[in-house]
Amino acid sequence: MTAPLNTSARTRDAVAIRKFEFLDQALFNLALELGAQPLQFPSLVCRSVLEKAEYPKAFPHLILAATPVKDPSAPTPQLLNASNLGEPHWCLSPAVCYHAYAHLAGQKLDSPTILTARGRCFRHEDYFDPGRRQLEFEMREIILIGPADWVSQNATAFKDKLTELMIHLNLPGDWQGAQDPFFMPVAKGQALMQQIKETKLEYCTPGPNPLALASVNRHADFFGRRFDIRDDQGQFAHTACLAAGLDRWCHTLAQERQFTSSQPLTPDDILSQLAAVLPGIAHSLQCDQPLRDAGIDSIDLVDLLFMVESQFNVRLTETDMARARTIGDLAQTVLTRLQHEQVTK
Amino acid sequence: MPDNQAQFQDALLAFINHQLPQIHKPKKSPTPPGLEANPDTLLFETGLIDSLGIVHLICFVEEATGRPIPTRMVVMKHFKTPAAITQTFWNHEGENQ
Repeated sequence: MTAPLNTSARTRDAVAIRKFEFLDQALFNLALELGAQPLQFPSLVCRSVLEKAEYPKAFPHLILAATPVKDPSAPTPQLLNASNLGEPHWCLSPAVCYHAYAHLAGQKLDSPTILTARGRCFRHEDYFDPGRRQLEFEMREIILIGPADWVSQNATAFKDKLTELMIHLNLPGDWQGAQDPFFMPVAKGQALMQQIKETKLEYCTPGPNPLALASVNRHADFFGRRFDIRDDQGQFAHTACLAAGLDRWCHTLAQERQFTSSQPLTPDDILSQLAAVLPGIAHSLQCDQPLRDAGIDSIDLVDLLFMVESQFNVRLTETDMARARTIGDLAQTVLTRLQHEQVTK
Repeated sequence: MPDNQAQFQDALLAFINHQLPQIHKPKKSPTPPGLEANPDTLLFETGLIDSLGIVHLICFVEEATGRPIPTRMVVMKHFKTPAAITQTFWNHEGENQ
């Protein structure tokens, strides 16, 4: 039997928080470009919503319920015993998009709708692998709701845009048919149908231990029927969602070895990368120009730290960044770190 | 157990058209209603096979060929039509046993 987990997610320090927000901002910007309306949903989802979505049929083993205690005066050892737990009305959200269907339930949409939301998600995984498989993680989803053809065409177009973004962010991978952990044998047919119809594709990292960074899920009118959402013609709406696992994006960027000492790093390399990340500022940068004089503030510096770390695969501290007065200083710091890593390997 | 590819396909069509509806009726009626499969019928687009139907169908093919079907083989190109199933899982006449 697997030992119980004592942590639900990796703790984020200041640098990780900045990386996380940087990645989410890139995704959020993409969603806005695609015409999405931003929404924010709670972490708890009503049990009846999950039941309507038939989540308990497909993934009963992943559900986490939130329940009050029956007798709050019970002594500590018994307080949280199963016998003292009440009927769960709430569950912890296993995904973001169920909230969106509940939000639109019973509505007839005047036009196709695109929503985006980021949320904490919870699944009862039986093991913990920091950054890869966590009990608690964050996803940003882009959800499409509308007529069948519109959803089909846009899901494909959005998938291509998402791929471009991931490549730009140095997250290489390719799309593969997904094999979700459906509860067997009850949901075996659903798993096989997902595979046959390719209703779920995952963008997986290359290598022997691939990690799904994003997915595109096409639901046909499954949720439209269950939540009575109709398109402008009065037909049950079709839905699709694009989901990105932000913890996995951060983890993968930290793991990727994009740069080795065989690739010479010069101040010009950093300058060109900087120009891509901070186009509004970098056009006037010179290698020997103080960064702060060029209008790069402390927030930009953390973005720059993240970019340099992920692009050249070195671990830099905020002190390194504070000491780097110019792009030339920064390039020298990166080179020194890379050489140190080579020596200590 | 069928002896050759033609017999396998006939048995497969009989299973889809007659035996399967007695074991399991899809929630949504096939389109058009009353549709009977022929070798080139699109099994999933027409709704003849749904998520429970595919499990029964795989069991039938495994029993008829005497060989298990690996999960990785359960993809659209192999299950799109009865002809595709026949071609994939009974592709060597007389050598299937």
